[in-house]
Amino acid sequence: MTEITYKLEKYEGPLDLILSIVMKNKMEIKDIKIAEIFDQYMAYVEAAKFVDMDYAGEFITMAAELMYIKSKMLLPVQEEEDPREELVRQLMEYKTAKEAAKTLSERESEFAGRFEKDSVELKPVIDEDTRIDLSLLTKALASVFARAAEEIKRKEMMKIPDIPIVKRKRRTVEGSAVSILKKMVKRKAVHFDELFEGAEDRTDIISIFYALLELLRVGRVTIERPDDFDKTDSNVILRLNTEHLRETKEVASNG
Amino acid sequence: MDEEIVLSDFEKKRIIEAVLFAAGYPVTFEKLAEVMHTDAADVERVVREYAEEYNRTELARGIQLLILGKACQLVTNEVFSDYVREVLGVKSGGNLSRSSLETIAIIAYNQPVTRMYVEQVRGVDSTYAIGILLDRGLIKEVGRLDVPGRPHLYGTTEAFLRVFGLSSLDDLPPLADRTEEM
Repeated sequence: MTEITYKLEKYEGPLDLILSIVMKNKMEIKDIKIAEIFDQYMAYVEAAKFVDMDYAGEFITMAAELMYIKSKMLLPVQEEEDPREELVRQLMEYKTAKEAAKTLSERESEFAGRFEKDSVELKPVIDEDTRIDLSLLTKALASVFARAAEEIKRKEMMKIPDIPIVKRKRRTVEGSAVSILKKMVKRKAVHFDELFEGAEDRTDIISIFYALLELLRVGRVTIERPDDFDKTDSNVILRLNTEHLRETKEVASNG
Repeated sequence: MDEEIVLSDFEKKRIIEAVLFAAGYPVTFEKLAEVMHTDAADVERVVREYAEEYNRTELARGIQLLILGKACQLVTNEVFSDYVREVLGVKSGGNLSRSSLETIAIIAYNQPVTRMYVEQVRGVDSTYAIGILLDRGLIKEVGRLDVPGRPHLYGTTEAFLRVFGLSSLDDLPPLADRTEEM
């Protein structure tokens, strides 16, 4: 078992494996011998007994590609284009990238010891009251869900058809984070509910909420307990953390 | 700071040092120009001059002034990294894996690029490696490619320049044999 792990770690992928076969056999990349490569490649793939299916899939796709090139080369009528051309181009490109990675790696080990100072002194003082309070979030989220349920009921009553799943825009957590920040850059402070405007279903709500948690965690957004929090219709206020160093730069480049 | 005050280079240098120390992160020439009532080109000139004085080897300072593209930053001198690591309790490991290095190399030399492009060159899924690089702040999203799906485009950051000892992307070591324009 240990041997297998070793082998799995050894190659970054099928191109890496082919490149190493090419090097080991002292072939010229421009004039690779497909039959030889194919045999050695398959020997590795068979021995490797992949655990990770995605990783295995990549190797198997390339095996099929090699087989295809090999069979094409056996045809008596040679086409104008060398069947190896695409693979050769890929190998050259990968080789360049691999070498560049190696050079960068040397630079990294030399320079990674340059430490930057964390601008702790400039971070806003977080006092007890504004520290993230779970009850604020759970209560606010519950009201958003309640409203969403009402909305679904209303749509059903009015017979508004749901958007079919395939036509829906998928909302990623990342995308939600960006739209939250965009909303906040314009307004600085927004109500919790406003972040969920335009959310179509539970999945959207969860995605937006998850993005908000992430933003709170990294401190780009802060949360505030409103004075009338105990009233039923009160709304949690979120503020953009303007002291956070990434705020202006990143949002500007995203917008 | 309402009135127009013309600062001498000597004063500008001290202001730059103070700002950079307090900030910690890279500050753009533009931002510095704004607060010193001058233009970015002037700041760049002063910073370059100051960096030369600041980093003079005979002074062998523990801190150095780095120029990172259109920004500058004060960081510790890598020569003393072992001491810094020990005090801060930073593990000496944490170096990038081979897959992350390959990925950042492809991004650095071809930016801006999509994840698809990286995967095409590497021949393997690179979602994870890109995630790691984003987390470590070495790359960032710089926009979206105008094709169906509007995929993210990635480029390197100032942290990338710092960690790899470059002062701009023009400093990237030339590639051994670049076969064709990619």
